[in-house]
Amino acid sequence: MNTNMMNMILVYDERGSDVAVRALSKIYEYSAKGFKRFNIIVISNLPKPIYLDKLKDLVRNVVAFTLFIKYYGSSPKELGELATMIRDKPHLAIIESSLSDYINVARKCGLNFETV
Amino acid sequence: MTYEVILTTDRTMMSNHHGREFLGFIATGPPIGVNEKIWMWIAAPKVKVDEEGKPVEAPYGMRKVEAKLIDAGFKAAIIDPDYLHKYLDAMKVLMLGHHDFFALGPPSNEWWIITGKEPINRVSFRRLMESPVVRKAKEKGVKIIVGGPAAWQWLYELEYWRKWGVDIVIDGEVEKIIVDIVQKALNGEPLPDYIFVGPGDSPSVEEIPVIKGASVNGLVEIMRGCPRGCKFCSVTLRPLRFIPLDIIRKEIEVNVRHGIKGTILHSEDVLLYHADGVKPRPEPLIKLHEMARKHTPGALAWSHASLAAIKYAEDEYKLVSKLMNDIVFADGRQSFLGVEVGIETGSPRLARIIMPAKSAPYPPEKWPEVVEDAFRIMHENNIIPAATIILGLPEETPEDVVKTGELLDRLKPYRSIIVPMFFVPMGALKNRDWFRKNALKPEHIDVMLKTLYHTLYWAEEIMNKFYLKESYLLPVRMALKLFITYVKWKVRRILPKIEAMIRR
Repeated sequence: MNTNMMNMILVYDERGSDVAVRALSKIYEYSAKGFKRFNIIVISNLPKPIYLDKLKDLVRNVVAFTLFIKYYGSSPKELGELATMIRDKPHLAIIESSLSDYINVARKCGLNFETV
Repeated sequence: MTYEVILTTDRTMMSNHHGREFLGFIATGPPIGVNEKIWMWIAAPKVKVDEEGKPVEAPYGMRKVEAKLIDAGFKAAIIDPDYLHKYLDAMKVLMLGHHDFFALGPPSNEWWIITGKEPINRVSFRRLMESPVVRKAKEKGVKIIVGGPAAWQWLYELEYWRKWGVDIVIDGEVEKIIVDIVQKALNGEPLPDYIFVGPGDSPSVEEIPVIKGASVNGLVEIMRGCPRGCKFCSVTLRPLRFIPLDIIRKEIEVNVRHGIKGTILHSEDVLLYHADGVKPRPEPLIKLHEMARKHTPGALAWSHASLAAIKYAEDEYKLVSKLMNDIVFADGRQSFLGVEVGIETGSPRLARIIMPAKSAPYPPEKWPEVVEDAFRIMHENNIIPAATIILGLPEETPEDVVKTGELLDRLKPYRSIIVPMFFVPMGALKNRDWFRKNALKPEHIDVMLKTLYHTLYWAEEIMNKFYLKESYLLPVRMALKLFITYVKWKVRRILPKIEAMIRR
């Protein structure tokens, strides 16, 4: 199940829907490059499983690929931990632009990331 | 024997519905005209269990998961919801499956909208999740895994997800992932919260296990996937696979060994078993039915068939008549065959947009004729269809709904049940919006009334002469007759209001 897998880290609070829209367009982009499975890992102040409310439309729009969605935590420190595990694998982080602490961590840890 | 992985579901699913699959649909509505206990008894009576609390019959999808886990060496079993307490100490993983956990799917959501009352399937599932045994299981750290065709509904019920402590929701065919997930759950390793299994991870035929225990009413799968590509359907996204005859036979034998007399051949389109695209072929269908007839002591049924395939098979090869007269009814073991079919719309325009291949090999412009011809063929061959119509499909116009009404007028002479359903976003349309009460137009109400009159007209004959004619089903037949009388009375009472609404 780990073959053709793209790891996507989504970092959001209130603007999770915007992050999800960007993630969806990236899923289509990466699928064209051969990725058919997407491991979506969420860092959010929204608790588990309520954070999924922001990803509902993303899930409902994906019909052709396999999605694994999991919650990792809420703090910049946890993003740092995650970054060390994932930065050597195919990945992209999408971060809500107002979350500057997380953006700094992503930059410091060498994650590929975009802000929304 | 003790089990650490327990699969279960609530009573509306864990039932054989008196041996009559269609009665299970009654559990998609709230109790109407009778109290809840009687409603539940009609729709979903308790199922026989063995001394361990294992149901003699259980939902087929759960049987597949159970078989996969047993084959992988887990101590897993399906347990009737009334017997979960026996396994509270040993249980480490609790798995729940459902067709409609929260009554958000069709037709439950429609009955909910129309009556304003929660359907009984939702109430029953909630009661199970809030029962002392499930609460205690959660308190002691049991991992809860949910899945099945209605898994997507959890995304819309996150508060229940949180409250009940569900650990993971899995949407899609699970054969390739479930062993790993359950192993992780048993090891206490972190799990994803949600998995959507895409078509690329659908199992091959070889990866689909043979069931170990009997399925509800002897249902056995003959195909997975569907080539028709209707946009409102999730099955069509999956690759098409034909289950080999010897595997189908083995599953029928499992059912018979457990005392189940009938067989329901399950497919989205039974007549497409080893078809040439969407054109049915006589040879594989004759072999399938001969094999099923030989090994099934009771009645055969089809789960679903497409109207286009029925028409094509009969027009080209007289195949429907042959299957019925020479095989299914030949030895007098049964006098009718039940099946679900989809009309969905009477509008060729909408058919072309939403389900361009549903009429194939005939063009969408011929869809109303295809429907009518197929209904005639079924009527002449004692095949009794439960048909669906979908209201509120994306891009539907009032003119489309009028065309559906006109088609219903043409179907009056044919013995059938026709159920209108409100559009629920699934399949390639799963990103579209639900059909809601405030979108109801007079044309929709007209179609709903036509389906009601049609169904009430035929229901009594179907019950008396075919579906519920056995003496042991007399109490069910009486209860349903009372229900029909109540519905007729209720409709007569509210009809002036409805007609005024249509005129506006």
